Amino acid sequence: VNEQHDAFAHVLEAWLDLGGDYEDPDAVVERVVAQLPEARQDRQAWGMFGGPVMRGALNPYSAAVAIFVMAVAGLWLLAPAGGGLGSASPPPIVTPTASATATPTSGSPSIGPWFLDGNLVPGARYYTGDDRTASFQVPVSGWRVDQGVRLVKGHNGDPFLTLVYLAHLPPTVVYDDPCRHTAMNLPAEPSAAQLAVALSESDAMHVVRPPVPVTIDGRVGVTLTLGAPAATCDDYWLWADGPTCPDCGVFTAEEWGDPDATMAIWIVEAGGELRWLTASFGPAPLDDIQREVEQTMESIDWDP
Amino acid sequence: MDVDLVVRAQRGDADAFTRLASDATPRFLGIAHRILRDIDVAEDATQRALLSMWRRLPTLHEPERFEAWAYRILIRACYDEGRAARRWDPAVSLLPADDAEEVDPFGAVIDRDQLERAFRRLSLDHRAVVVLRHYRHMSIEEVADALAIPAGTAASRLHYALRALRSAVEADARPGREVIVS
Repeated sequence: VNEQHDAFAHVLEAWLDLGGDYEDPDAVVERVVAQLPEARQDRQAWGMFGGPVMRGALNPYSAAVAIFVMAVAGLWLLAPAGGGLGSASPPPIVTPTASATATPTSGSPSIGPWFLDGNLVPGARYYTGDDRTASFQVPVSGWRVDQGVRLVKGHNGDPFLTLVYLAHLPPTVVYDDPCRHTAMNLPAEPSAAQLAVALSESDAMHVVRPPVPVTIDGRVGVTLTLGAPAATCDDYWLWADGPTCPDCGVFTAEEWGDPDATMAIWIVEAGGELRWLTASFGPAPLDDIQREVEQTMESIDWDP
Repeated sequence: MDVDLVVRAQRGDADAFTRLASDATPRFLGIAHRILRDIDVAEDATQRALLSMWRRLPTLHEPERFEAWAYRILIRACYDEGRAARRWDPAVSLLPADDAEEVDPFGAVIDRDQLERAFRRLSLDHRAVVVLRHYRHMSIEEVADALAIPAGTAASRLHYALRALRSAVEADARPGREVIVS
């Protein structure tokens, strides 16, 4: 039987090798590269518990460590606002450069785009992206920007124990069956409440705090808190932001990271679209940090 | 595989991603072509996979595991493109007839078309595991990693895929002996 099996495997491998090589792989690469400017990379909240730069920092985080992430994707921070709370005025747009290096940001003209670290002083800050500029308040000292997309606050001597991300792409797909990857029937343009309900009713989700109404910058919205999903299969899909392909921007249970982590989500209706903000906490989040998160969310001004 | 390129691509460096894509594309096309049995669909799957990789790169936790991660995305893209193209009917497979005669069809030359027809009757799951194991010569552990399934499942899937393939070839050699189940 083994000899027969080996003979068949040999024949099979010879047959598979017959396919030959594709004549012009470069043409395929060129077509893909041409689409890269339009294909935005995922830089949403799901980087927060294990993004490539954070891994080393997050591994040691364990008990009593609060991690919070506020996400507004594809953005970079700009100059601190000139005035105090409520008196911010938009700064000139600063063109980000890849050669940016770590710089304390107190009074500095720019932070970003993705690679830059820098300390943040309390007060109004701007962020921009997707042809939009908005502002928010850094409530207290101790926060700094990291990777240009997240705010970081140290705790107990660890510079990465508290993290804040900036992103804002709402998912367009919520998976009803996370193992079979079947999507929930969402309206083409769901309201904040509809999306929140879909998230809370999906079998993939573990709801810690059910949806409740919220207002940010005078816009109505919903907030809810999810716990780490109890994944029962590989590729346990929670949601995706794939308007053009079903597996683009898939957020999996694996990417959730720490099993004790929770994620608070704010979904706000603004300008005919949904804004998606998240704040994520590690085990036993500190009350102070939760308050700072709420203050930051409530301070967002989308039309400064 | 250059981890530094992966990290740079994760940070949005399109040039770094282009180099990764240029390196991976010939392999991807070869795998997709063999799974999907259609070069146009394979090309679509490869493009889809590469774009998906670009979008999702920042979510890759371990840059050093880029290769296995990339294979997973490619296989998923093959599934999606294959379903869209409807080039096969995965509900139909072949089982050996109970009264199969003791014959050794592999002692003789197997017609390429026989293998082609038999292979097309395999489900996508089975095709993927066969291609990764017998075309890319991956270990069972590597196949399992690429398909995001346990090694035991990969081994079992390969066993049944080869059995189904052999049975299909045998049935093809003996017209009228095939058993079609759905």
